[in-house]
Amino acid sequence: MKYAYYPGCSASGTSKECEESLQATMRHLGVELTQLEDWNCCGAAMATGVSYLLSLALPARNLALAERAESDLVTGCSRCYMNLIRAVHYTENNASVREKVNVLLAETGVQYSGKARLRHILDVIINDVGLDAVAEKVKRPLGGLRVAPYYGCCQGMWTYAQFDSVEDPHCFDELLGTLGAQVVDYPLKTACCGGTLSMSKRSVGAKLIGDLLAAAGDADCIVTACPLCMFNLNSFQKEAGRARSTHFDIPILFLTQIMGMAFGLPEKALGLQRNTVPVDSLYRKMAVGAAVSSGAGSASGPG
Amino acid sequence: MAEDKNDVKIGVYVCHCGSNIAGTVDVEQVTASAQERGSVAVARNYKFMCSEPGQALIKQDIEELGLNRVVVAACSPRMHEPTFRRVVEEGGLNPYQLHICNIREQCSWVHKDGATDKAEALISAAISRAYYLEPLESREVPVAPAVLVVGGGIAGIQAALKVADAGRKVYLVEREPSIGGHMSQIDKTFPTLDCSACILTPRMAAVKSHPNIELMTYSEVVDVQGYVGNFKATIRRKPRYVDESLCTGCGICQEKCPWKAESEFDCGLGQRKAIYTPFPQAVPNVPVIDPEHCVYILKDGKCGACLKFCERGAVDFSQTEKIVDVEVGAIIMATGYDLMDPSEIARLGYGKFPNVITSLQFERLCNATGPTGGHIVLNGQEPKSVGIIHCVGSRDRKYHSYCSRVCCMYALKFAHLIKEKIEDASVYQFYIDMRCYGKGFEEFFQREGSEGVTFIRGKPAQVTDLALSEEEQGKLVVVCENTLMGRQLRVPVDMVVLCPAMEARSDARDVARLFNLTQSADGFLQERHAKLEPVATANDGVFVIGCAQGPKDIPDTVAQALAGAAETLSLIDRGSVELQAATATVDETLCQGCGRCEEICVFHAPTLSSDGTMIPVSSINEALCKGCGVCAVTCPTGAISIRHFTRQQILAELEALSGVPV
Amino acid sequence: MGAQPKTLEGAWTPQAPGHTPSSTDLVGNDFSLCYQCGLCTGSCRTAYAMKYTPRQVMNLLQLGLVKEAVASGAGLLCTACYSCTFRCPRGVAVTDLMAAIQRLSLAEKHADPHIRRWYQAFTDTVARHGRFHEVEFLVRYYAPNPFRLREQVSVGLTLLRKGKITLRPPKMRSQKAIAAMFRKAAQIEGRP
Repeated sequence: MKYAYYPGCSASGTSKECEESLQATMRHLGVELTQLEDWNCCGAAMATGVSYLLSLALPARNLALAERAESDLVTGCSRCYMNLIRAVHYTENNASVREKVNVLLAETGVQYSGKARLRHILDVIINDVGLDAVAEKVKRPLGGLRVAPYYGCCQGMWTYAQFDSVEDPHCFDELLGTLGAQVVDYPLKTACCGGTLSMSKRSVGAKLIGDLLAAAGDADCIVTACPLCMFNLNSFQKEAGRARSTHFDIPILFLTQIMGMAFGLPEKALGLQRNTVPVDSLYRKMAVGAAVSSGAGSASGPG
Repeated sequence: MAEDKNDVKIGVYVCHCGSNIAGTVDVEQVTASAQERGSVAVARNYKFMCSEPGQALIKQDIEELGLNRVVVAACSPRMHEPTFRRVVEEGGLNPYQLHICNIREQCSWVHKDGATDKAEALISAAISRAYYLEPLESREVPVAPAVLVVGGGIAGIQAALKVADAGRKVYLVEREPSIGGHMSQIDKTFPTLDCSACILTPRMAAVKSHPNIELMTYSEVVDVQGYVGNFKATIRRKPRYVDESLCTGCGICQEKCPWKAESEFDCGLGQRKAIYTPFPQAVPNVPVIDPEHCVYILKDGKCGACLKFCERGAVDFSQTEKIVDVEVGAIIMATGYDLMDPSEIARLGYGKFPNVITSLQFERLCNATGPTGGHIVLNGQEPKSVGIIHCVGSRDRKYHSYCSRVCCMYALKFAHLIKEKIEDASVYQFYIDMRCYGKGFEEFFQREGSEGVTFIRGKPAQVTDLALSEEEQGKLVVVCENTLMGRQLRVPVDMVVLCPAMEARSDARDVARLFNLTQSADGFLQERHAKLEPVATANDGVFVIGCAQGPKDIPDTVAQALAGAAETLSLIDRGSVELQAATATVDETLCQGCGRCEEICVFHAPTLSSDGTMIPVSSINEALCKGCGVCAVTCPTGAISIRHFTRQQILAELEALSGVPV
Repeated sequence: MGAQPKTLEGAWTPQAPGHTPSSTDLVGNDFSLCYQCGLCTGSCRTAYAMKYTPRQVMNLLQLGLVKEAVASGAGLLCTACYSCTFRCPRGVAVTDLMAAIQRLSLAEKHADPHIRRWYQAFTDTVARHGRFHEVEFLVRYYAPNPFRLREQVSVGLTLLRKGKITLRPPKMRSQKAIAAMFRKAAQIEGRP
C-alpha cells in the first residue's frame, strides 16, 4: 500500500504528536507514505473568508501535484481533507469554476484535471489495511479501556457517506474495539469542536470544547480522528472548565497514538510526551485490564 | 381499397387558437402556401377550429368539395384529436383520414423567430402524410362484467361495495389475513374524531356478507394477462392451515397456542401467537398459522395444541397453496402505502431510544385493541410530556421531496388524544408549516390550540438523551430552533412521536410491472392525468385508487374509491370497448419467424405460430397492441408495419420536411 | 429590495463593496429554495452566539438584504462543519453562503478589526511562505497590540514546553509561485 502523503501545516507544529504517531503506526502496518513534494497550505479555515477561488485553488494545487505523482493522496488532517475534497467536488461538475481555478494554478505551473483520488487516514486504515490486519499487530490490547470516540465534523459528510453513516458512524468504534478498548456511547461524537474559534473567539470555543469534554462522562479518555480537535480538546481544558465552573482533566489521544499504544510502540515514537494531559494513567488502566482478562477467575490481584 | 391517388382531395385548416398561434405564426401566409400544394382542394384559417363554427367549416367542405382527407393545423393531438375525428366521421369520412399537425406546443409556443417558417414546413409534411392515409376500422370487444379489486383497505372495500351494489361481480384480493388495511390500526380519525373501527368494521362486515363479492384474503395476484375488458388474473391463495368453512372464530386456538411472535399489526409493540387473527374484528374472523413461528410446522409435528383444542376440527396442516384464475373486465389497484422507517434519520434516535416511536405505533398505544389496551403507556411509563415531530422524511430531498399530507392533521389528533387520556400532559408540536386545508381541518387546528398544545415552529435537528441541565435529566431532549423567536431551543420530553413519510409500498415496482403500470417520480402508482383522470392509469381498464396513488386521508381515499367504482361500472355497462385501429400488422411473406417482436413487446401482442406455414410466423393480437412501434423497428426484415404510421406515410413527412427526396 | 442576488459561484468573491453577484448552482442550491424550517440553526453549534441565526441569514438573502447580513457579521462564527448543508431538506448550501457573506463582511472596513486582522495575518503568512507558520502568524496578528498576546500565553507556553512550536519558517520550493497565485486571485476578483 503506497500513497502520496499530505501532512498539512500543523503536522510540524501544533499537531506534531499526530504526525509522529501517524508515521510510526503506518510504518508498522506496512503502509508506505511518501510526502507530497512541494506541497502548500490547503487554506485551512481562512481561505474561504478571503477568496472563494483561492479556497479551491490552494488545495487543488496539491491535488494537481498528486496527479503528477500518479498516486492517491492521503491526509491525516481532517480539516485539510475537507478543503481538498471540497476542491474535488466543487470543480467536478462545474467546468467554469475548474477553468478559473486552473487559471490560478497556472501561476504555479500545474493544472488540475479532476482525476486525483483523495483518502482520509481513517478510511485507509479501515478499508485498505483492514481491521484484521490491525488486529494482528495488537501486542498490548487496551484491556477494556473506556474510550469515547470523537469523529469530529469535517470529514464525515465526504467520507463516511461512502462506507458508513454520516450522522451515526461506527467505523472508528469498530477500530477501537479491535484494539481492545471498550467504546462508550459518545453523544457528541460528530459535533464540531469549534475549530479555530478556540483562538479567535475564545468564549465560544471554550464552551464548545467544554460541552465535548463534559459529554465524555466517565470515559478514561477521548480519542480523536482530527488533529485540530486534538489540539482544542488538549489545550483548553482549563479555560473550558472555568467557563462551566468545573474542572477537566481528561487525557486526549489521537487515533494513531492509541493504535500505536495497542501495537506496543514506544511512547516517544508516538509523541505521547507532547499530550497536554498525561497518559500514564491510561497505561496503568490498560495493564489492569489486561491482567483481569488474562487472569479471569483467579483470586490474585493484578500482576 | 384501391383509391385513385389522383382523386385525393385534402382540406387544410389552420387554427389561430386566439393569439396562441396567430400571435407568433403568420396564419395567412401559412394558409396560402398550403393552398399551393397539389391535392389540396381548400386551405382555410379560422380563429378557433375546435369551436362549433370551426367544426362546421370542416363538415361543410367535406360535403361540398368532396374532401377525402383533412389536415388540422392546431394544438397538440392530445387535446383535440378525438374531437376532430368525430367531426370528420360526422362529415362522412373515416376518422383515420384525419391528420393533426401541432403548430402550437411544438411551434408557436416555443419559438419567437422562425415560427411561421416552421409552421409552413410542418403543415407541408402533414399534407404529404395525409395523402397516404388509409381508412381504418376500429374494432369493439366485449367487456367481462366483473371487477378485480387488489387490496382490501378502506379504498378497496369502498370500491368493491359500490361495484357489487350495482349488481356486478367483484373479486376482492387482500394479502394480509384480514381486510381493513392501515385504517384498522388507527384509533380515531380526524377531524371528527370518529372511532376508526366503528366506521370501518360495518363495511368490512358488508363485504363479507355481500352476495356479489368474492373475498380472497391471505392471497396475492401473481400474474395478469389480457387487455381492457378481458383480463385474466392468476391469484395465489396462501394456505391458512385453518378451514374457513369450519372455523367459528371462537379464538380458543389463539388462547392455547404457546408460541409467540412480534405482532405486525401492533407495529412491533406487542405480540401475537403463531396461530392468530391480526385484530379482534378481523374479516374473515378465521385465524392463519404463521409457518415461521409455528412449532408444529417447524419441528415436524411437535406441539399441535390448536389441533387438540379446536372443537370443530378446523385446523388442517395438510392445506397447500391454491391457484385461482379469474376473468374480469377491469382492475382496481388499492394496494395502499408503507410508512417510512425513520431509523435512517439517525439523529432523531428512532431505534436507539425506546421512547421514540412512529405515528402508527402511537395509534396502537391509543387503540383499545392495542398492546396497552388503549392506555398511553410506553416501557411501563405514562409520559407526562410528548414531543410530536412533523415532516420526518417528507419535504426533504434526501428522503422524499413530497408532503405526506395527513401528518399535520393526525399530529393534532394525537395532541387531543394525549390531552384527553393523560392529565396535565404537555404536548409540543414541532412543525414547519401547518397544513390544515380540508373541510373542518382549520377548525380542528383552532380547537387544538385552545386545548393548550404548544406549537414550536422549527424542524428538530436532534433528539438526544444527553442532559445539559437538571430538568433534562432522564428525559429525551428535542433540539431545534424556535424560528419564530430566532433562538435555539431544547425541549425535554418523556416521549417523542415521529410523523414519518407515507411512501409507496416497498414492492410498488414489482406491482407496477405485473399490472403494466407506471410509477410517478415519487414511487407511487401513476394516474393518467393529474387533474382530469385521477384514477385511470396508462393501462386501459386498470385503475388506481387511494394511497397507492399518493398520500391522502380517508375522505379523499373514499372519494377516489367511488371514482374507481364509477370508472369500472362505466366500462362494464358500456358492454364493449373500442380498440384503437393504429395497430401493428405483419406481412407474412417477409416474416422469418425470428421471434424478436415477441421478445420485445411489453404488451405480449405478437405471437409466433406455425399454423399452416412452413416456419413460425408472427401475428399480432390487435386487442393487446398499443401501436407503439417497437416491434416494427426491431423486425430485421421490415415485415411489421404500423397501421396509420406506415413507412410510406412517415417517409413522405420526412421528405416534405427535409426537402430531400426519400 | 432591488436586484436579488442568486448565487454561490465566485460571484460573491469580488469583495469590492457594492458588487452585484451573479447566479450559478454549485454543490448545493442557493437560498431561494430555503423554506425556513430552521434545521440548519438547530444543528449549528455556534448559532447561540450569532446575531442572526443561519436561517435568518438565508431569509435576509431572500429579501435581498445582503447589506444587513454583512453588517451583522454573519458567517464569522461559522466553523464550516457542514452539518447544516448536509441536513438541509432543500439542499441549500448554507455553509458556502455563510462563507460568501463572511468574505463580504471581512472586506467591509467597519468589520471587527481583530477578526479582519486574523484573516489578513493568515493570508499574508501563507502568501509569503506557501505554508502556515504559527509564530509568524501570531507576530503579524498581535503586532498592532502586543499586550493582547497575553491571552495566548498559557497555551503558547504549553506548546513550547511540548516542543510543538517551530521557530524556523517553513520552506517550500514554489513559495514565489504561491505568492503569485494570491496576487492573481486578488486581481481576478477585483480585490485590493
